[in-house]
Order: sequence, then structure tokens, then C-alpha cells
Amino acid sequence: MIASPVAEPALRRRSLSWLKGLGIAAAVVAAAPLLGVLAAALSGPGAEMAGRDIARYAATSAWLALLVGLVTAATGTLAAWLTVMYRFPGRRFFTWALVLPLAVPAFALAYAYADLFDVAGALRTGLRTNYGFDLPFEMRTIGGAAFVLSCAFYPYVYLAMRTAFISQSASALEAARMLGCSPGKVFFRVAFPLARPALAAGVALAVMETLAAYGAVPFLALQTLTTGVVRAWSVFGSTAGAARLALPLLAAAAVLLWIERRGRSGRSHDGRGSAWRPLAAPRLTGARAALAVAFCLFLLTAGLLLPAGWLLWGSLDITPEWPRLLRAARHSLTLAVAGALLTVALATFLALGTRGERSLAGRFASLGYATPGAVMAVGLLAPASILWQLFGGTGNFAIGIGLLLYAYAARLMAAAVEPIEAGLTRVTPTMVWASRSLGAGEMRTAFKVQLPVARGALLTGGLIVFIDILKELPATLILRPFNFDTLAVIANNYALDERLPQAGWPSLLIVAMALPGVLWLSREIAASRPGA
Amino acid sequence: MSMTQPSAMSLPAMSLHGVTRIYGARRAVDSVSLELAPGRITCLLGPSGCGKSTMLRLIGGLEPVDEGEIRTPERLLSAPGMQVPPEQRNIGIVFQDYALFPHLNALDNVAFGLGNLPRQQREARALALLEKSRLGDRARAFPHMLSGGEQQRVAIARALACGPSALLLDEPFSGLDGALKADIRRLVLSVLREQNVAVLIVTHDPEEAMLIGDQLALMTSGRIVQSGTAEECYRRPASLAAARLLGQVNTLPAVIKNEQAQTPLGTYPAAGQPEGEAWLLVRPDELVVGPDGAEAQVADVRFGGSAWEATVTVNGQPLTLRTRGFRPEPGGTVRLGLKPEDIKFVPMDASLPDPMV
Repeated sequence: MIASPVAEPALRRRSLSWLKGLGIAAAVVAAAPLLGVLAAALSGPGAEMAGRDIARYAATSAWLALLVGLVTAATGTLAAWLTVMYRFPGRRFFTWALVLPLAVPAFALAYAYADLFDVAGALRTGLRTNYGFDLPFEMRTIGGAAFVLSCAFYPYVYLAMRTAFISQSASALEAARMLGCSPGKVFFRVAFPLARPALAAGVALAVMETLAAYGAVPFLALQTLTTGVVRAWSVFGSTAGAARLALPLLAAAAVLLWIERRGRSGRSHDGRGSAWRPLAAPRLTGARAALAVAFCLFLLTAGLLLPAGWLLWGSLDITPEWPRLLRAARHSLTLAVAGALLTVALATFLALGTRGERSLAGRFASLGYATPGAVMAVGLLAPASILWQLFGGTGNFAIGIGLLLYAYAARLMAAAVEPIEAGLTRVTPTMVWASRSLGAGEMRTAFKVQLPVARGALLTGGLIVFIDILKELPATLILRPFNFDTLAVIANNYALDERLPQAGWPSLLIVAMALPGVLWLSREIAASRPGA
Repeated sequence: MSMTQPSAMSLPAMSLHGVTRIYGARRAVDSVSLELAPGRITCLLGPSGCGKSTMLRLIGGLEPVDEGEIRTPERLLSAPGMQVPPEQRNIGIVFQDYALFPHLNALDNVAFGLGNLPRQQREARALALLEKSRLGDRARAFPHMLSGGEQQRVAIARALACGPSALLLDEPFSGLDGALKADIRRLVLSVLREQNVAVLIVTHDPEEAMLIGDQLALMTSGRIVQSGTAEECYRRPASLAAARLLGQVNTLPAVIKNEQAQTPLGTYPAAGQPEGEAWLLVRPDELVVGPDGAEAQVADVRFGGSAWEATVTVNGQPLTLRTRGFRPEPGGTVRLGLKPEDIKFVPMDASLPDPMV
């Protein structure tokens, strides 16, 4: 080594490192469409829709959000409480199986239930003619839609509450028992209050998804803000109008995000500080066991078995349009894989670059997750139109695909960042320092230590994004290149054409493609223990 | 075992001059100067929160210095406004939690820093280091399969692999249980000495620091209050604070005049001491029970395994006394004296004596 008394200026502390730069770039990617929405809303006239309509849309959105919030809170919490705190036949199975409805897109549930309970459908007609009895409900109402969306979104609450109950200190619950509480009282006086932040977070997620739901809602003859956004763009061709409808959604997303984050920070009063040990779960017997099994089975049936079975039953009668279906399946798969890779890469930069800092960048990425896909797409329309003008018209395939992937990444980055951040906490600060003291720079440390240690988390993040893109509809509808169909898009088209049996095929294909991923995630969730 | 290497000692592997780190209004590390010599072990001893860990971060290049500089003979590592990044410092670090990479086996952990060597050489060197640490048969084991002591030796081998100019160890033996500790300590020390590397060990355990350090640096509130060999520090503490870091100590007020000190234990020679008030420092096991000396009333006696520990009062001054082979009678009296070589005075500084020590 050459002896030089003074270090060169190049060795001066760099305030902005490579990783940090990439992290900030990833956050900008996530934030840009949101700014696009604001810009679009402020530009040009957008008076195509009457204020009365907007108010009506907003009211429907609010009612749906309220109902789905209540139903998912009750069912998700009860399911988590039963599977964590008691032993009953099939508990092990239900622990992971209750997550499986995440593989079913909400619009598929809507098709299945609308068809099953159709006034002129086989079920009701049969009941009426044979027993002179009609079912006292209708699917094409707010109540019906709330039921459908609750079936699709209760797993979010279930997962959040399950984590909360598992991490609660067994000692606290046992102390409550010794102080004279019955198991029921323990739930209401100790376990539930402790888990309330998690409940808020889980319900916030379910409500976000409800507000963002597109395909299912218009199919059930409802108009919400999100359907309004798509309508303003597709029917009236007004980006500004769509953006204006998107503003209240963006505000709601920010509020829900705030609730969700607060719920997360409230985790400080869980049992993680003390040594964790498994709860001694009492065994349910007789009628109680039967009730527990029945409840879990009902959720699984309502969320997956019945709708998927009904769609399959209806689809078996017809021959699918194979070429169209296979082409769409290939498109869906390609988009989902490419989107997952891109999003995980960006999320990894974000997680590594902003590690340990509660940065504005991270919060912007989270806001993207809370933002409905339709809104995200609208935010990208303005820059898209510029690109289209520059590079030969709306038909430019590469730009279309690029924008679509961008929208997915911006919307789903936060969903991928979360498990990746959690995985990176397995790399202690001392490990990073050890690596650097051994001569590895920041980048080499990232690739040789941080990412390999967190590789399971990268897979988890990738699968979450993959599944969400398979099910995604509104952003794909708005941004896809001309004549580029995904499974979700052709399902939606068949459904709009009242060709429901045909819509069943792409819907089922989505379920089939998403199910292995959901299965993997749910097995991992079932095996997870705090501190493991 | 003679480790002194005059040629090496003349040139420190690393030196700190007036290094200061400021957090807000607090000087977490305050004007610290220290030299680490190749082949020698320096123990940085201090209570938790005294700035030891900040020292490691400063030397390792994780934090900037606000004043002073850190350098090797070849180059400047840290100075205000400049800092060589950790990966370019060539300083090995062994953490309290060992920080082994969980996705790599022992061999790959040790070989991690040898990235620029061809694969075969890399593995050969890593294996040689593991064998020296008596871990040759555990080379393919992953960190979670290793015991605490084994993990520590892998961590040390990993840090030594790239031939660092200095090696920092943070509380290296605190995670090991008693019986194993001495054994592993011996092994680790032999490996360290063989490498002729400058070693800085941070610890809060005085006994450990004295046993393993060729040189001690005693630290309180961000300052090094004394440095020297273990014996120097123990026998000639620079201050009450320094004396307390190395173990329990009785403080007795003394008045020095004409090279004589008046103390509750009697009059003792105090050649070379400044006149005026001072503390006479007496460790509990330095008190000699005999036929002469000051009369002390025995208040309370406890059996502590290797010795009896008694609380006694001499001329109104409470003292702790530790004796072997003689059990003081509670309520009785004993006569206490001091050997001339154990007599030590420190100035009466701002730190208040704890009368019940």
C-alpha cells in the first residue's frame, strides 16, 4: 500500500450513497402517479358529471365500506380467535385454508353469487315452484355487494388478527384466567383490547380494497366512486373528470393508511418483549366444536368452494373460446411475472435505501398501496398521453405495457416492501457492519448478505404482487395497449355481454394460477411464530 | 511468555489523538488519545454508557469524529470532515452478538472477506484459520448449528482472515457461561497473539480486563481516566474513579503533611504526595489483620466462598474487610494495618466517596 498521509477527497463521507439514491428513485416512482392525479384534477374542465351523481357514488362507496368493514371485522376476528385459541377438528387445516379466498378475484365471486341467486336462476325458480318459497335477499343491492366483497376481503382481517393473537403473551392471558376471567371474558377484557390496533389495520386494508373494487361493483348494478372514475374516463373520455372523482378516494386512502399505520405502531403493547411460548389451547368438544368447524367451513365455502364450484359447474356446459382464453392467460402470466419482478426490485431498493428511516419516501409508497388501481391509472394518463404523442399514437405496444407495469409497481410496491423490510430485519446492523469491515462496500453487502438472508421475504413479496396483478382489473382496463387482453379483462367483457358461463373460464383460470402462490403464502403464515 | 517486540512497539498500528464525538451538548467521547501496538492486547474498561461502544464505532468508521484524528502509520482514517469508509479501513471487528452471516457456513463466513483471492486459496486460508481455532471439523456447519463459543471463534477467524491491522472485540466473553469462559479465553488469546495484530477489547468486567490486557485504558464519562498495565492501574490508580473501575475499594480521608499521612488507620509514609487532604484507597483484601494496627469494631460478617467479608468501623469510618482463614467475630474487635506497597493516595476530587463500599 502506498503511504499517503492524507486521504484523498474521494474518501470523504458521501452523504448520498448509491442505495439511498435508488431507494429515493423507487419512492418517486410510487409517488409520481399520485401527483399526476392532482395535476389532472386541477387541469381543464370536468363538468360532465352532475354533482348529484358524484354524491350518490360517494354515498354508495361509504355504505359499502362501512358494511364490509363491520362484516370482515366480525368474521375475521372470530376466525382468528377460534383457530389460535382453541383446538377443534380441522383446526390445522383451517389455519391456512381460511386464507385461500385471497386467490379468488372479487369479480369472480360477484359473477358466481349473482348467477347462483339470480331471480330467474335455477335455484330460486326451483325453490319457488317446488316449495312456493323465495329467498329474502337480492345480490344486486348494497347488501349483496357487501356480502360478496366481505367474502373476498375477510382474509385481510383474519391475517392481521391471527398475528396479533399469536404474538400476545401467554402469561397475560393466563394471568387473566387466574384472576377469575372465563375464556370469553379473557377475549373481551384482555385479548381483544390488546389486538385492537391490529383490527384497525386489518379492517383498513379490507376497506381500501372495497373502495378500490371495480369489476364486481358495476356487475352488481352499483355505482361507486371507483366505477365513476372508470366511467368518466371510458364513457366521457375526460381525464380531468376522472381525476376529480379520484380525489375523495385519494383522501380516503390517506385516512385509511393513517389508521393502518397507527395500528401497526400500536403493536408496541404486544407480547414480543417477553419470552414467547405457545398457548395451551383448550380443546372444544361436542356442540361447541361443531359450531367452530361449521363457522370456519362456512367462511371457506362462501369465499372459495361455493363460488368456484358454481362457476365451474356453469362453465362445464360450454366450450371455452380456447385461443382467446389461452392468449389472455399468457398475457396475464407475463404481466404478473414481469410486474412482480419489477415491483420486488423497486421495493428492495426502497427497503434497503430507506432502512431504519421513517422517510417521506416510504410513506408515499404506502399511499400508492392504499390508492385504487383506477386512480393510479388515471394519474398515469397525463404522462401517458405525452408519451403517446411523442412515440406514435396510442397503439404503441411497448409504451402501453411499460405504463401498465409502472402502474402495478406504483400501486403494489408497499405490499412488497412490507415483507421485504421484515425479512431484512433478520440482518442485524452488526452483520452489515461486519460485512463492511471485511472490505465489502454497500452494494456488495446488499447482494452478498442482506438479500440472500432475506430471500424468503423477497419470494413472499413477489408472490403477493403476482397474485394481485392476476386479479387486477381497472388499471389494466384503462392502460392496456389496444387489443391486449388479460384474463381479468376478458372475464369482465364476457360478463358485460351477459355471457356468464364464458366469464367463468377466465375467472377459474385466475384462481388456478393464483392458488399455488396463495397456498405457499398461507402455509408460511400458518407456520410463522413471533421471533421465528 | 514474552510478547514484547521492541521494533513493533515503536510504531503503533493505530493511534487516536484527541478524538472527540459530540451528541448534542454531550461529549460522548472526550479528547481520547490511545495507541494500539501490534501483537498487544489493549482492554478498554468502563461502565455501560461511558462511551466504549462509541469508541468502537469511531475506530471502525461508522461515525465521524468531531475533533482529533484516528490514523495508522500509513494514512489518516478519520478527522473532522473526513472519514475512510469501513470497508477501506482494514480493521477487523468481532461483535458481542458475533454477527455471523446466517446463510453461510463457518468456512464461507471466514472466507467472506477474501473475495479477491482465487477460490482454492480462499478456502485454504479460511480452513487454516478455522483449524487454528480448533474448528476444522465444523467448517461446513451453519451458524445456528454452532455453540456460542464456536460462533465466537468463527467470528474471530473471520475478522482475522483479511490480515487486519487492528482487531476490535466488543464484550467478547460476556455471552459465554462461566466454566467455558476461561477455556475459550485462553484459546482465543493464543490465536490473537499468534497473528501479531493490534487488539482492542472492550469490556466492563475488571477481572477479565486485567487478566487478558497487556495494557488497560480506563474510561468514564467519555474520558480515558488512566492507562497502563493492569498492575500499574490497580496499584497506582490515578483517581478514585479509576480505582473503582477495577473493583471494590474503601476510601479513607487522609491529611498529608511533611510526607506523612494521618489516616483513620494510623500514620503512614506518603513520600512524594502533595500536601493537604487526600483519599487513602484500600481494597478489602489489602487490609491486614494482625497484632498491631488500628482497632476496628466488627459489625457484620458474611461468608463469600473464598473469603469472609466483614463490615467494620475504624475511628468512625465504615470499611469492608475481606479475609481468608480467619473469621472475624461479629461484635468483637480486630486490629487492621496495611502493607507499605498497598498504600495509595488519590487527590480528593469532585467525585464523592461512597462510605459503604
